[in-house]
Amino acid sequence: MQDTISTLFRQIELDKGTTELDTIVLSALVDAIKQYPITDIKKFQEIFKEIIALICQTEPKIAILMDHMFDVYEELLKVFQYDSKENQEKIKSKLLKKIDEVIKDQKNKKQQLLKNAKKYVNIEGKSILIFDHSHTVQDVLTYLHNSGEKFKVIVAEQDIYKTEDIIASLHKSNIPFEVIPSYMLSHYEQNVDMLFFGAVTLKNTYDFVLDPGSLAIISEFHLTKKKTVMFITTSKFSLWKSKRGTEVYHHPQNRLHSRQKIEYKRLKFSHDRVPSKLFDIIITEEGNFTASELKKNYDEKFKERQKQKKLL
Amino acid sequence: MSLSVIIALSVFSIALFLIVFEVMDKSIIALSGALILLLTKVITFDQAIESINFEIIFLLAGMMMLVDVTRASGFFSWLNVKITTISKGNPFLIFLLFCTLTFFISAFLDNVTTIIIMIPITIELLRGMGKDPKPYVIAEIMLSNVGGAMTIIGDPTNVIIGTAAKLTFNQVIFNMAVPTLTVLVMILIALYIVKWDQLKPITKDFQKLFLSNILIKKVQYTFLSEHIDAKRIAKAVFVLVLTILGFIFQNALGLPLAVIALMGATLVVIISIKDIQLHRVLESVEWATLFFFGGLFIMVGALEHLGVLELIGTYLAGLDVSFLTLLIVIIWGAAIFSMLLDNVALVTVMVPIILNMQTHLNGRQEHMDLLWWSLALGAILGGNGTLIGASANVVGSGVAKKHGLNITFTGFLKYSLPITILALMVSTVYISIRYYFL
Repeated sequence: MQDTISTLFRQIELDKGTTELDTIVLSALVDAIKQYPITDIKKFQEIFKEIIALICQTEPKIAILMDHMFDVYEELLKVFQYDSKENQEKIKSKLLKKIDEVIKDQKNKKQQLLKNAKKYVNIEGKSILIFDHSHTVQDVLTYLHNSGEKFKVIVAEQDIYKTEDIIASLHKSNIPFEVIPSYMLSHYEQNVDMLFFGAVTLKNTYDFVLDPGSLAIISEFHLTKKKTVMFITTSKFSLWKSKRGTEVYHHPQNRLHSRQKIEYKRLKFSHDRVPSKLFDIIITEEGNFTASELKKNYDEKFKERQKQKKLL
Repeated sequence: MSLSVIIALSVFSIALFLIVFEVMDKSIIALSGALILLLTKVITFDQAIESINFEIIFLLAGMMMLVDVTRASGFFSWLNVKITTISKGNPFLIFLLFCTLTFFISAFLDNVTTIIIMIPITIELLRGMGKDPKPYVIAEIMLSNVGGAMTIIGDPTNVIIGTAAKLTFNQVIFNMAVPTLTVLVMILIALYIVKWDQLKPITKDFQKLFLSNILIKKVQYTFLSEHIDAKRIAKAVFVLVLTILGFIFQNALGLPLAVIALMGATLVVIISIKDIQLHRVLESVEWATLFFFGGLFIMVGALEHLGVLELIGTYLAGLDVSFLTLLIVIIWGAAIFSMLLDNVALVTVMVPIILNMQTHLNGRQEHMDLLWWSLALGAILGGNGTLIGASANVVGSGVAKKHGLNITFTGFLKYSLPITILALMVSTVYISIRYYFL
């Protein structure tokens, strides 16, 4: 079951991003609770703990999901004070209400992040470089555009499917853009005013996990002192100890030459780890931070999570 | 035996051999065979054109276009996702609903299209649940053939038999529904018995419920495009239903099936003209398959013209066996041939033979139509026996391989052969009952 869930989460995260994965998993949890007959409260509590354990042990771990599952579990413990059959439906309804609140809270956090983006980042008349397949960045750009900001986007081309998704999103939002292969950016540096990035998570090593290829671009523009902005909600923080280099997977692929009958191996890596100090501003739903300020914010949340873990 | 007969028999046999062993595309083989017969003057050009059953060609072309526009509208993806959602991840319901859906879709669309629609979502769903999708996929492949046997448009062999024997849409359904539905139930029961441990309900297993619900959501976003155009689906489905109604009321309309199919294709293209690219719809017509039919009809036409098939028909009609025995021989003989050879080629040869048999037996035997049902059941159900027995089997295993599921010849055989034997026994019982009582 662990491997099955890990594979499934990885696939959904690659397809839709971590925030959407979180929404899908929570909605699935809602449906499962509705369908499951709770006959024994204590037994259900144990079962739910197993689910949290499953989610907490996926490879890779999904921080935002773990964050929300802990919130739900805390509610479960409060709700499970009732121990009679007549309250089966009340228990379900409270649980479902909590999950619904968690989903809404995440949406509110996202909305607040967008407002903070407008408040703390001035992009009027600027050219913004984007690279990663971040739905958060796309939402920020759409929000700023709809708020009347005038700017242009430069899309650094990467994996064709991800680039085309980005293009489709910008096109849908009527945001003017142009595309340049990421390996040709050195010719276009002077045209870039700032860079926007989103992240899968922030690790306890204070590195952000981003799309592969991000580190090269961020490093390049760090040298030219272009402002690099990170957008991330705090629920995406990985509040556990990790080692450097883990959760970057490599995938060997067999590919066919497009014009000749040549089969070759192609190696792909899942993510880049980018030190937070390479970002000039980090925008979360709680405000804007420098790398050192974010470190403190992270450390507080980390401590809070260790307390939550003891409940398990 | 004249030189022309030797040439015609040799060309046909070699062509069949090359088709079975997939030396090259079967349309090239069939066309080459036809060309050789024309060049050697075994058959004249006019005779060759006369042998081509254009009603079959146009019926297939029309249905291919209609099905393509309907598929492009997203209707089948929507239907698949709907069924998945209704199942709520219950393995037994997934098995039951998907298999039944495959059967009924295949009755009205071609088997290959059905398989292309059903297999990817089946693999996605079951693999995601940690189950082996192989038995389900094999069941769907087999049921696409069985479902196709139920109607005149469901399988190319039925199209050939139905148009040659001048059967109506309703006649075929009326006569084939009972055995095919019985085989459907039999396959479902057989697979349930073999795989019952994988089909247990999951409502009392919270982890599996949770996993299934995640999977259902993944299937929803994978197989449904972001924007489902309800109007586009409605237009396509409306014309599809109208066309099927046209088939049902064929007698009242007094129109050949091919005309109804072409009307449906033309209408759906006209009303969907803003949603489709016409050249892509025309590309969806499997011209290679139609050329294969054309070449095959010419080769068989040559044999018919030379009297070879009449000889065979006369011989079979004159055999000192009961009519029921003859019917059973046709069922099992057609099935065995169909497992190893192309069942379309088999049926194309058998049709004039049976027409000749009917001529010779006329007045001496009732229930001559049972000859057609025996041939149809034997040829189509026999095609389920091996991986190479039917196009849907080959295409189905190809689609499965593309999605990471390898179905070998023996892997298919261990499920298909026992089930096919049971299905042929059902057919034998059915034909026997019809012979004696109905």
